[in-house]
Amino acid sequence: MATQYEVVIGIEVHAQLSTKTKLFCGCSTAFGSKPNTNVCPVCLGMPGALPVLNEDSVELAIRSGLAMNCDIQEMSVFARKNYFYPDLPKGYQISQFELPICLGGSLAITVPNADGSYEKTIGITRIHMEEDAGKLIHQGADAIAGSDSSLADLNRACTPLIEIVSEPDIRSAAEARAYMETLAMIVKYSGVCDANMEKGNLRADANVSLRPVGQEEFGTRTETKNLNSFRSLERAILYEIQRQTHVLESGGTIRQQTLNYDDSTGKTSVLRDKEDAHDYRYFPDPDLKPLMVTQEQISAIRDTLPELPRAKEARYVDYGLNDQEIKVLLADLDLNAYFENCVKAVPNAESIKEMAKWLVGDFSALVNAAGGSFDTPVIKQDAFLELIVLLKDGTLSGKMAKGILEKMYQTGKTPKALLESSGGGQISDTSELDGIVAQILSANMDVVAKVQGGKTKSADFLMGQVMKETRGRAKPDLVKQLIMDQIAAL
Amino acid sequence: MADALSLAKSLKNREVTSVSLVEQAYQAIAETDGDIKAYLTLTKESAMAQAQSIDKRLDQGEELPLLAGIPIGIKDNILLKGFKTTCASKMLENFVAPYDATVIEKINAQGLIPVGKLNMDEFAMGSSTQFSAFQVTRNPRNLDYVPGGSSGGSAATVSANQVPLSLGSDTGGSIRQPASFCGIVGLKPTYGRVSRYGLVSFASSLDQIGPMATTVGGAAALLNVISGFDSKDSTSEQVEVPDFTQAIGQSVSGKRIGVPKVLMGDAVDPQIRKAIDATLADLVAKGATWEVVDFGCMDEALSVYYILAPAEASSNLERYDGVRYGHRKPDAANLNDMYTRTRGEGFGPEVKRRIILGTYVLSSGYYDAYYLKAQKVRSLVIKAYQKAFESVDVILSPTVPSLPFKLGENLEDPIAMYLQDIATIPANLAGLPAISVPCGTSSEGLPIGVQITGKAFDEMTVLSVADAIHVKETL
Amino acid sequence: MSISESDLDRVLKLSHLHIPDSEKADYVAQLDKVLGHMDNINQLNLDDLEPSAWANATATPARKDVVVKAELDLETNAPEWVDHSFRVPSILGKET
Repeated sequence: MATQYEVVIGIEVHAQLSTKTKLFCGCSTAFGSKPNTNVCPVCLGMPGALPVLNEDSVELAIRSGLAMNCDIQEMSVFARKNYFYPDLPKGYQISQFELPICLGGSLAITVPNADGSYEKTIGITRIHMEEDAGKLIHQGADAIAGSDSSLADLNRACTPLIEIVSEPDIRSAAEARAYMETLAMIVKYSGVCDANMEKGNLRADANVSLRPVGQEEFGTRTETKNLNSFRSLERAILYEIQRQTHVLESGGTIRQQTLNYDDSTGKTSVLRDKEDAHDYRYFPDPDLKPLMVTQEQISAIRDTLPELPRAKEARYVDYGLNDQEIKVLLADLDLNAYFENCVKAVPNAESIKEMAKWLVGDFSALVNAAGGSFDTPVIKQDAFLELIVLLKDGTLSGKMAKGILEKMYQTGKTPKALLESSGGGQISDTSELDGIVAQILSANMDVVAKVQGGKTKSADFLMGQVMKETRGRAKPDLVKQLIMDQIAAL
Repeated sequence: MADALSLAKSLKNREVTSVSLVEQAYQAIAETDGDIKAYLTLTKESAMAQAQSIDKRLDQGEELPLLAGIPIGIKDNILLKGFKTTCASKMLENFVAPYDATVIEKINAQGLIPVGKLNMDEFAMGSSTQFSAFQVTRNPRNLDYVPGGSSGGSAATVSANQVPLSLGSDTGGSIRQPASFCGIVGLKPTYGRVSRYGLVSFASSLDQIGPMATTVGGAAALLNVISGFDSKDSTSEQVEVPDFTQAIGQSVSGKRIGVPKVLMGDAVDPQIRKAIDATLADLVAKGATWEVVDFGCMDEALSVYYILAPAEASSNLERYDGVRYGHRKPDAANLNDMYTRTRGEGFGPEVKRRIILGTYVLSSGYYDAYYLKAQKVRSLVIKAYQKAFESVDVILSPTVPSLPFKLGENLEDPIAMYLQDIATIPANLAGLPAISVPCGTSSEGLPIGVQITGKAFDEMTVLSVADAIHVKETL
Repeated sequence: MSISESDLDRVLKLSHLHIPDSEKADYVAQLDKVLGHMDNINQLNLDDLEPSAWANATATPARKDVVVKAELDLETNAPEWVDHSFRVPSILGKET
């Protein structure tokens, strides 16, 4: 029988801290500016320029550590990682090496599987702070290979990052994806990182190795760089597992390599071998003295740490929301804030369920169709809550509410204002509907006969006629009841 | 040119104008710099405009800072916006400073007038200014001799009376050794006293900008101008800045002076020992006391310096890669070729030696044996000073154990050149203030300097002892 | 410790420094001499000492997260300035 292999994965995530300015200078971190406009002597590595630490970046790094249960270090040290590349202005990257700001945390994840899902805790080795490099645009070809020259844009150089290094606790591509998704949620909800993967402010490197089941020591690992979507992370790992399995099964050995993943082909290729690994000559950056934080500072940051996604999720389960609703409500920070504000205003379990249903359903659909956001919603919270009240007290049917919501979105008006201008809400008054029902029955005696003959389905036609007559405002349950009562009384 | 303080007084009394002082400086440069070659760049047009503006403000009765209107020379590793900052390197031959160093902002704010940029050893690496890529500066006291280095131009211009003040930088003695060779005063302040923003880094944990002057009073006044915490330099310290000119004329009575045995031994030139002995005798006559302090790690301190400084330099000089500014090898076939040729062409031999040495001691497999060990010895040096300062106020030694040497000497022997720094290096490693003051002349008429090292941020005591020594010299 | 020409080549590669072959022997000899001199630090007892990266390791200061716009003329000093960017030769091009 062929050897069974166990997959061992560790992930390094680079998250861009959501500061206004760079890690060591006052330049803006704005995305998409004209090349080399958000630059200064410091981030350009001009002679004589010196780094000065951004205090907010320290707070955000600590916040990330607290959110991932790390020990925050009272003293950490910035070190220089020396190498040459045109996107690295100083010839070294300022990073933390021997003494990072956070050590030893963990992240609880929920991994979907055939039986539903299972829970697992992934260890966090460390979180350290570092500066990003700039960007290169290769000329004369699509990629670096074949290009005749490259243009360096240093707007991104010196942007603050944290690197979150996991323990090699991950055992499958699905776990890797769950880890990355959970991590993205945490940094997003703790205000550390916008976690916008399209803008590249969350990027992962995956270390993958295989070992025979039961073997304790790790196999040789490869590192796949720059995985910038959940999907490419999962696919790259699946590919790499498959590739390594094939190599091992055909009697080969895995080489310690750094790989590049190509999303268009779904394959990895070799960037460099271990033999030409860099000798980065790390040493403490003499331009920056040690970063010191006090226990008081740490607990002050702990006190402002918002509720994290897992705690929210548990609360939403208590509300009786379903998995899909919970997933959608957590996926978007602005939608979530909208929901939480509504919950705060009307903390009533039944209303919360109704709000969640509408927010996740029709309201989101309207926002998405219009390309809008819940950050600056057309429908204000009060108006939305009014709609929920009208639904709950029976003034509006679900179908009517949907129509009203659309109009609310188009006009920005409140549901009550819209109802008044369209001639009132749902008709649930028996005396008002009795006459209309009688009128419809007498005009459709042939159908009434069918119903009397046992074809109860035909009552739906009569029902439709009543609704048409009342322009949909009649309360359906009541209409149905009245039709059956009147036919029985004939 | 006379002492900066007396010139400032004449200026305040309207006996001279700033324009006349600046003209005088350029006149002196025109007459003597053909031989001395202290200057790489002159800033005449802007200097004259600044001088006119100062005179106008004085005419209007404005109260100006003490040194307003006084000409000053700037070492060419300090950025003066709009002018070339070359570091005496082919690498930066055409580099135009895009911003002002903090010390330049400070001297501008106080009305001092930069007249030009001064020659140096390339990237401040050297002790003779012979490693400049552009010209060899000569010692104004004897043109056959080197002015010392790396701030050789800064020392020479003051010594030649072209200007009364200059700014130098000191990483292992680069202010004090040339001050000693040229017979002027040169102070390396406490590490963190003066902002390094805009000083082209050589070894970041050791570099410090300092004043060079004809008198201790001039150095003290210039230190007043350039000192203070700078939010742009994370290594500058939030420490109160006293008026350093108050140190001038203070009594040294009761001051306790430590003399390291090793710096008074056979390794020191007999003429220098004699001058130092006489200086000590004079200080004792003025009421000071002295004792021998045990300072056992001088040789090792030199080794530590020549590990740590090149290590930091190898990293600091990685930014000179031909991408954003500076020299670029044209028509390179690829990026790596561009890098290696640009740097191969742009850096001179001494800079290359230090980059190689520094890269070596940081590289995998050697870091622990050299770099980490050197940092531990650095701790030893710091502790040695702490112990010494339990019983003395200042430490006195020769600035350089040997007399100035002739042009062309020591060029091919790095060790001999490095030994120039043996007495000056420890103060950089421990971050302490140290000054070199003239204390005599050799039989050949070459200046001899004495070095006073003080406790951290105690420039006051250093200056007062130095002043007591220099007053005797100039009497 | 004795340094060889292959040590020098390794260091030159790391530091991206070109030195003509004819000069290498001199550099090796000088480096060897300097490193030999430095071996004196091995005689010291350093067991109880912590390394000092700074003479005075006080805490690094930090600045507020406020944007400061720098006005810089980049073109004057740039060796090759194209599309408001720094142009560099082909990264993977052939060695000469």
